[in-house]
Amino acid sequence: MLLLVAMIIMYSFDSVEVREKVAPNIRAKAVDGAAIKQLVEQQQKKSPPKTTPKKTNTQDQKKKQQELERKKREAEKLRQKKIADEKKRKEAEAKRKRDAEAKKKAEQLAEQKKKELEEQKKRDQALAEQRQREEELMAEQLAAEQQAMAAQREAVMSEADIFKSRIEGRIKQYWNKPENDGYCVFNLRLGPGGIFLGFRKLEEQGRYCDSAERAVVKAAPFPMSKDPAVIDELRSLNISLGNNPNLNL
Amino acid sequence: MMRQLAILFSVLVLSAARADINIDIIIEDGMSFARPVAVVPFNYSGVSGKPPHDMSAIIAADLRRSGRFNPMPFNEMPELPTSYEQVSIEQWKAKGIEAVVVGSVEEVTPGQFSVKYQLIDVFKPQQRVEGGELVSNSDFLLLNNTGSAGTQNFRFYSHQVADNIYEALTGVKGAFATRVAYVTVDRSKSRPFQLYIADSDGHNAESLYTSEEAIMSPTWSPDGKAIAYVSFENGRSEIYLQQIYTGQRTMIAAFPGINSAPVFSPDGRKLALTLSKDGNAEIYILDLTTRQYRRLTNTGPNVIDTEPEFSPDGQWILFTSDRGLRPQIYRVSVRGGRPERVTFEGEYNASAAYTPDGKSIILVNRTNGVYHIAKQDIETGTMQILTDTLLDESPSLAPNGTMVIYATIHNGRQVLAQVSTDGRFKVRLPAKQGEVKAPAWSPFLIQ
Repeated sequence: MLLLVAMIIMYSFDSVEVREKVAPNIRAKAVDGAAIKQLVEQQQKKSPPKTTPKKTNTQDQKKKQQELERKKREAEKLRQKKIADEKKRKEAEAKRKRDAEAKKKAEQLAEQKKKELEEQKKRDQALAEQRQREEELMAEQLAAEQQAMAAQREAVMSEADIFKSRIEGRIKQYWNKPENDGYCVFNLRLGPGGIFLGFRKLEEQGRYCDSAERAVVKAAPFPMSKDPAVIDELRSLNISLGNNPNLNL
Repeated sequence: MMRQLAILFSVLVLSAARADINIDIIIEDGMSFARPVAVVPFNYSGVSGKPPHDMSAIIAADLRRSGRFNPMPFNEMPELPTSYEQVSIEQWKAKGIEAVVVGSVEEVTPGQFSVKYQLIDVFKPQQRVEGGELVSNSDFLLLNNTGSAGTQNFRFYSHQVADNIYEALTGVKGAFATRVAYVTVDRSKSRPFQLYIADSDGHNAESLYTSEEAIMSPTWSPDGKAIAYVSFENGRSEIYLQQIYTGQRTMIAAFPGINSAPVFSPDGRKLALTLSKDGNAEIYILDLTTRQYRRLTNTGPNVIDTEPEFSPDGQWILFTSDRGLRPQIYRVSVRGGRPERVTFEGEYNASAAYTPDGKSIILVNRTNGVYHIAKQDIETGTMQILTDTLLDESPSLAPNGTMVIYATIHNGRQVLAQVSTDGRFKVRLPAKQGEVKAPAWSPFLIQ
């Protein structure tokens, strides 16, 4: 047994490489659609539409036109900015609201969880206490039972031992030991009244099992107790006959 | 990751496999008794009134002689089946019989017999559970054989059947279908010395050689076809080799001085023997093909080294020597070298031979003035006296190491006796006229 444990300890199990299926690490970047649109518009504004310039006196007009357009553009820019800012503000506000709500919700949840945990704890404790009480009771009962059983077992065992040695003596009386060296290990099955039920060869050397089988058949019926527990204890016996070097005494 | 898991898994499996079975009862010793068996009289049908021999009686006697079995007397048998289907196993089990032999002999033509026999293991189950069902199991039928024999070899064939039964029940090759050689001395005859060979139970004795002068120390060649022995026919000890089936005789050793105690090496190519040609009795090895010899022992003029015997692997020679004042057993390598002492018990040890498994030696031991056949365990050195007869000598082992034939004194005459190597069974062989001595058990004769 020790040998087995030692061997287990000695062996180092390789580190197990387990490849789990994980989603590929995507470095995502949130893209703001509105910002893109803005950028695009900005780009468009930057690259002016290709129009052929008008005549010189229209150059003042052109300048005025250009000034107008510039003002228009600025106003538009401002307006857009305002929209954007407003949007931003609204979003921020919404976000704040959301966050506040979420926080509130979280707090509520936490509070609820805490409550539940406490109640569970209470229940568990009650259960544990009850269980412990039950266990103690059972342990007491078990101890009492085991003691009774042990006492009975001792009685059975010593009675079984007595009959075992009587059976041994009976076999010796009938066993004609062969001239040569050897041994026979066999299983003997006995029934109530010590009747012979079976002989099964387990190990043999030097042709000893012939004389062993003859001996037990001749010796039956064997001395046997009337106690069913003892009969049960002795119903299957492993017996070694002869000079058996494998017995570790 | 997978590699670590694989290694961890294999470690867990290994530790589970190495976990021992939980044993509830341990028994190391039991009884040691001859196994009760039954050889039911065989059925006979034929023109002759009865078969040449009572095969079942011969088989039962063989099994009893081995010391390992206790055959049931015929009048105690609960039934007399003649084939295995007729055997009601429970009846034999109730009597504690472990195995039953049944059979029948039929004279198919005058003098020719067909023999059927079965060996039943009473305690093996006749049914087993397979796939949740009870199916019949033929484990209990250890042998189901048919053979044939003529009037001439009917008795020897009975011993072969006994061998098959012995081997099926013990796992050891039977040695009943073997022969023994021995010397008889009948001083009332003009040629008093005779070399005989007989069946291992003493029956069917036939004379191989008759002589006016002494015959000694018969020994079998490993192929069972020839016997070497010492003959004094030329006024001094010489060693002859005689072919059993052709009768051909050749002189194989006639050195100056003593030529005695011949014994073949396991491969049959060499002879170990005692020669005194160099001054005093020493052990020599003689190569039978090249006729070259080599001296193995080298002790002074007052020491006798004799009775060599090869170890089963042919590497060692056991011999008797009185170099230590009294006869003891020593062993020396076939290549020569310094002999080492083997026996230390009692005041005298001689005529030793290894059992075929090389784990014990059978010898003559004298303790407190009494000569007995004994067995000494090589590893532990413990000695077990096997006989209760007196003045035992010349033991010879059966080729499976289970029985010993030897010479002993009974009613003032030398006779042959047998004892099983477990010490259980002892018998005196039918006494012939004169003295019987120097028995030698043959090797296995049937392959």
